[in-house]
Amino acid sequence: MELEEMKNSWKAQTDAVGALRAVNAQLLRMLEADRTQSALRRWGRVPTYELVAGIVAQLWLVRFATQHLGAPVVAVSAAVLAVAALLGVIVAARQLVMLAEIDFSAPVASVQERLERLQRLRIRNTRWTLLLAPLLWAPLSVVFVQAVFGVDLVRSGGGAWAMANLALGLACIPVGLWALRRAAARWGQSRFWQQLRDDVGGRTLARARRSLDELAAFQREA
Amino acid sequence: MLGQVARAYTRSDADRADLESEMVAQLWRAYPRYDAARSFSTWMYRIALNVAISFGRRYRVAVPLGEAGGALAVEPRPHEEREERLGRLNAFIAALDPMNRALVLLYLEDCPQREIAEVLGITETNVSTKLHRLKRRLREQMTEAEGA
Repeated sequence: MELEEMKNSWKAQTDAVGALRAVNAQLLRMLEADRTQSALRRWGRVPTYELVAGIVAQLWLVRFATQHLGAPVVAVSAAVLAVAALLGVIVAARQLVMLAEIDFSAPVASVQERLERLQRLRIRNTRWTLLLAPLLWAPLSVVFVQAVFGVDLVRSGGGAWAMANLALGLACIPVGLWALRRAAARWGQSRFWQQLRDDVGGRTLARARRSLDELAAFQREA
Repeated sequence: MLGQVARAYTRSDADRADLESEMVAQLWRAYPRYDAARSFSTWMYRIALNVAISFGRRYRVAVPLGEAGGALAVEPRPHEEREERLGRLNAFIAALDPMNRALVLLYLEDCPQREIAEVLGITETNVSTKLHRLKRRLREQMTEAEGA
């Protein structure tokens, strides 16, 4: 089959009138029900929530820390959480800025490269958040118990309590990874568990890196 | 054109319908910023392909077009042989990475090399070299399949 012949066959696949009708039908449906949301909007939703939650947490924690300067462990715990919240805010803001800079009518290679970089940032964020979250357990419980019950956990439980919780947090990391793998194996059909396992395990990150390399190779003069 | 792009980047009819909606939505959203001094088709191809590739990335859609019976069997055709070759062409396209798939789609849509370069954001020389290689690979695969 010659290439020209192939081109003709390819074009014959498209029923132009049918395609136009289908697009119009899609458009009508979209305008009537307004159900269609662009992928970009969906991508922006999570960082927006993260940004808002991070700012609220940040403000509250800073205020809480300054109010408890007399109880150094409580104040330091709140400060540690405030730093974690600040990092979350920075990453979320960076994702939103990157997203806002993407213009889908720009050349495909550059848009895809930006999207892949955004994806890599998102994956790294998820991965580190999940891996380091158990370490924040100890300061979180100190702040929570102080805020809700007015009890200084470390003062009442002693330094041993703080060390035990830190050790628990460290132990939670491998246990969490094991549990995640088990969950992904058990609910193998669930996209959520697969995605989470791949994000934490670094597979998605490796895939994003490969895609970036492929894009770079594509843009290079052959 | 939107239909062909959607077909090339999805596996099922449902995904294709979703992708077409995404493309139309994105085109409408981007239209106020369209610069009439520039080529409309280039603008449309860029948006359609960007949405399609992003859609594939989001869902990590494997695209065995040749197996996508529902998507390809638009209507029964009289020439079985042509149908078979078309199936092989679709399978060839499906096996390509998203960027090369976009390149072949634009070629099949009869886009001039200058426009392909503008849409994809690579040089015309690069387009020409890549197309030459892809056509050679396609010819080899077709000859192999026909000889088997």
